Amino acid sequence: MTTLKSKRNFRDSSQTYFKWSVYGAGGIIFVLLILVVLYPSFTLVKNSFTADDQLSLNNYIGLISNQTAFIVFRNSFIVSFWGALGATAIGVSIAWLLARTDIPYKKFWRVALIIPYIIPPFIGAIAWVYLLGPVGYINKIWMAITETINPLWVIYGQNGVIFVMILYSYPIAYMVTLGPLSQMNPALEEAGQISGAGKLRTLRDITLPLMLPSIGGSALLIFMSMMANFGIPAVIGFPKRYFVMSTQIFLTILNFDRANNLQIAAALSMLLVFLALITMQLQKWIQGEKSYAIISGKSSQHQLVQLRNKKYIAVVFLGLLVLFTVVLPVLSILATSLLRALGLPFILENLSFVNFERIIYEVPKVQRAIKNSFLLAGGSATAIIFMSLIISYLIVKLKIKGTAILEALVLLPYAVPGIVVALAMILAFVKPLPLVNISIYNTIWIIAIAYIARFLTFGVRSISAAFEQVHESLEDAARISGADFVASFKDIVMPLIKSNIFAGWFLAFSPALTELTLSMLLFSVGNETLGTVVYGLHQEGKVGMTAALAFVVLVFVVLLNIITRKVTQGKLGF
Amino acid sequence: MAELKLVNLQKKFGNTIAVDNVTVTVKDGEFITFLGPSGCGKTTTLRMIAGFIKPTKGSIIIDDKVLSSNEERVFLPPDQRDMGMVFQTYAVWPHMNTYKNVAYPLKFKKYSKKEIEERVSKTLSMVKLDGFEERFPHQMSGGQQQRVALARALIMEPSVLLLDEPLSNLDAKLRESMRHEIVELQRKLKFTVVYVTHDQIEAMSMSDRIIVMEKGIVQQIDSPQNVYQKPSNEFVADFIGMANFIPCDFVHREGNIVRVLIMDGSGKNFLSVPVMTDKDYGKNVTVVIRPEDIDVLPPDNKEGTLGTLIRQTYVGDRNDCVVQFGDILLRVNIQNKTSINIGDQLKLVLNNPILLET
Repeated sequence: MTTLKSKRNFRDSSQTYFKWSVYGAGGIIFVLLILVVLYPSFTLVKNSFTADDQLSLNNYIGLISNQTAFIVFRNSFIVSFWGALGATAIGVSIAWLLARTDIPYKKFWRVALIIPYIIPPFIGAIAWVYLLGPVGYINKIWMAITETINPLWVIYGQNGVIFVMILYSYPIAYMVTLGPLSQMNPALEEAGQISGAGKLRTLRDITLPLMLPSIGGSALLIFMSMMANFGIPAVIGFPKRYFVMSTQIFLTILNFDRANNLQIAAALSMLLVFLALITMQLQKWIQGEKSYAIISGKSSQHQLVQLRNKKYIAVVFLGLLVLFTVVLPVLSILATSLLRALGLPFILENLSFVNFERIIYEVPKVQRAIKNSFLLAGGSATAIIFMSLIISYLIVKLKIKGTAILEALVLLPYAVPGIVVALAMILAFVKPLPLVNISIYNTIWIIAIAYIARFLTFGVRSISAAFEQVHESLEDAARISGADFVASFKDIVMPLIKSNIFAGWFLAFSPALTELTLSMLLFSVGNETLGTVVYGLHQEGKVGMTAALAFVVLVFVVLLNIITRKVTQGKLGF
Repeated sequence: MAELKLVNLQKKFGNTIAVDNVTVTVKDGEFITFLGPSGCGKTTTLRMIAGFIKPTKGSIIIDDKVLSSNEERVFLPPDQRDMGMVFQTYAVWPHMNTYKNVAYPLKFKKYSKKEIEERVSKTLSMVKLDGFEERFPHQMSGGQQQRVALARALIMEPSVLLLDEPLSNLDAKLRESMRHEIVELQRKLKFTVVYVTHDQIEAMSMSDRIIVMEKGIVQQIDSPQNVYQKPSNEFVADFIGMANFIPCDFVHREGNIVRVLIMDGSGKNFLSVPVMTDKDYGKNVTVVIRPEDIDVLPPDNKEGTLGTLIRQTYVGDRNDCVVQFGDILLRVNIQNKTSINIGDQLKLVLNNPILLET
């Protein structure tokens, strides 16, 4: 008998080789994750229990006894509660109108109503300052019409924060509930109607209860994203000295005169993290245990509700939303960027591109920021994709033990608020790294590491989904056709996950390009990013230049979305 | 020319034995089918033959070449086994058109472009897909995709063709015509086939021999006729076709006939069933009778035993009936030309009984 031993060993070893190199790379990534996720988390917790370099509970005792801590906690809660309520109500209404009624121009609404989701919230906030600030366009028009000196409404403060947050968060509720609403098995509702319930009664007794898990889940998601948001309360809250937890942590970190300022900020952060984890658990519970199998799998044919003469009310409602979230903000930014100087009447003579010229030629940090942001976003997205390929391969294909730990390490930096991640990075890397004695603090590398940690989950999610879609039998078919392990990976798996790789790259690149929260705490002179420079110009009161740069950022964002849509063949982006 | 030998094949997953002690020699050009309920180990066995699963024990040999042997520490990966395989999910690669899918196995052998083109077009016309070269899987029906998968498996003229429930995703009509096509191809090209299915009609109509499996163990290896008419145990009799199982009360031999008596419970009436056999049976015997082997005659018929019709279901070509005999219920097929009603008395005659020792 011939056994072909030598050949077997050769082939077999190619597979074993590959597997072991994946394990090896996985090991390195695991160590990296420990360094950039676990170690900073640990440092954060430790610091929250440290005062004057000693183990103590003083930071927490300070929180309880301190009036400020209570006020910012209350503010955060009020803002997020009403914000989540409002955004969810609007988002669910839109989803229902588009999925279940005969409202006209559906295609247009579908795209237009999601645009606020891609506008960076702090830019939306700045736009609303241009509209409803003390000298905002709307207020000025109001004063002109009513011939008074009283503005209609100055947006600064709590209500303004809630207002802007709702405008830029409702797409989450809309996107989360649209799927279940349009894919719900129509027989469930038809059964209600045949039992004698009218259309409205069916909506109340059948549709809404069945939708509660997704509605509740999206409300919690929005609640948490509002708790974590930094840009909007910074832009809208600071002028009126109105603070929430994220902005209070920011101020505490920058308050170098205060003893133990970082440690106190750490304790405040722990409170925020605690809330985030509770909300996440709650959301998991609602969407897991409380959800019913209502989806029939296929996109179902629902009988559309005839809106008849109420059609106009619905169209006006959606139209106002587009006006408030897209048209007015973008126009206000464009107008401000084109005005030679603030306060001038909006006539052709006063329009010029001088602000654009100035940001490009006169402010060197703008050029640096554009370069840095593209480098940082591109570099971290690329690193994320390489890491995700290996992490997802370990999780999905090799099904290693300890998957849960790996997934938790990947998710943690995205699940906790950005301001907390930034603080943890500072605490972990403010001293030179042990052994190698290199300090990355105040360099571009600490921002890169923070971006990678924060957006890694996008890459892993995208590529894990891709690996899961490649049915095992597709690879089996290649093997039995004569392809060895490497050939089957190259010929079958890679081409099939290619579009997800691009998608994952853009999913990580886009938020990194306009990132504000992490960058605000981690940037240093020479290492500015787009977000920090827009915010900086705004704080310096350079209105025209801020608007010009904000407009440039918006153009980037829109272009990115179009590219994302192209490379993912319409699966992502809009 | 390929004779496939499985010797003492075993597969354990952790502590559970998925397949145990499978030994069979598949003759060159034979069509053999692993048949059994889901979880019986048939697919595991097929995947061991293909090389996707490493056996825990035993060996797999084609002609004189050892593909896998735990004793000799040999295990060839799938790409070294010269086999073709058709998967239940088709596994046609969605990013390649028909031509590329079918030509893929040739990539790993040295062929000129012209040879590749010739072979692809020859194989495609074999599975009646001429002109489909440029089509992508999403532009084809399930049946067409399955033909692409078949062509891809056949293009290398494999020593053994493995088919893993290839028809179960097709609709009933298509399934039947594909059955005939696969058999025709196999008769023409004379390759050896190992087929896996849970569908007894597929197994019966296509195979030279059937291997009935249950709980990882081979129950019977035999021709379709024998598996049906001479099941080796109750599982096989029950799994294949419909059968009545009647425990016997009395067995005795009269020359070359064994006579089995079945009492009705009251002790007055009994069914007497003669079975031609040389084998001697002990006390515990079960009689297996197929519903179509029970004749139903008018109550005034001389032969037979009286029973009562208690249920009848019209199924088109016949009536599926249940007849009560004492405390025994028998499933019986009755031609629907005869008009009988529930509660009617009938005479029953049992033919072709199978005796199983329990």
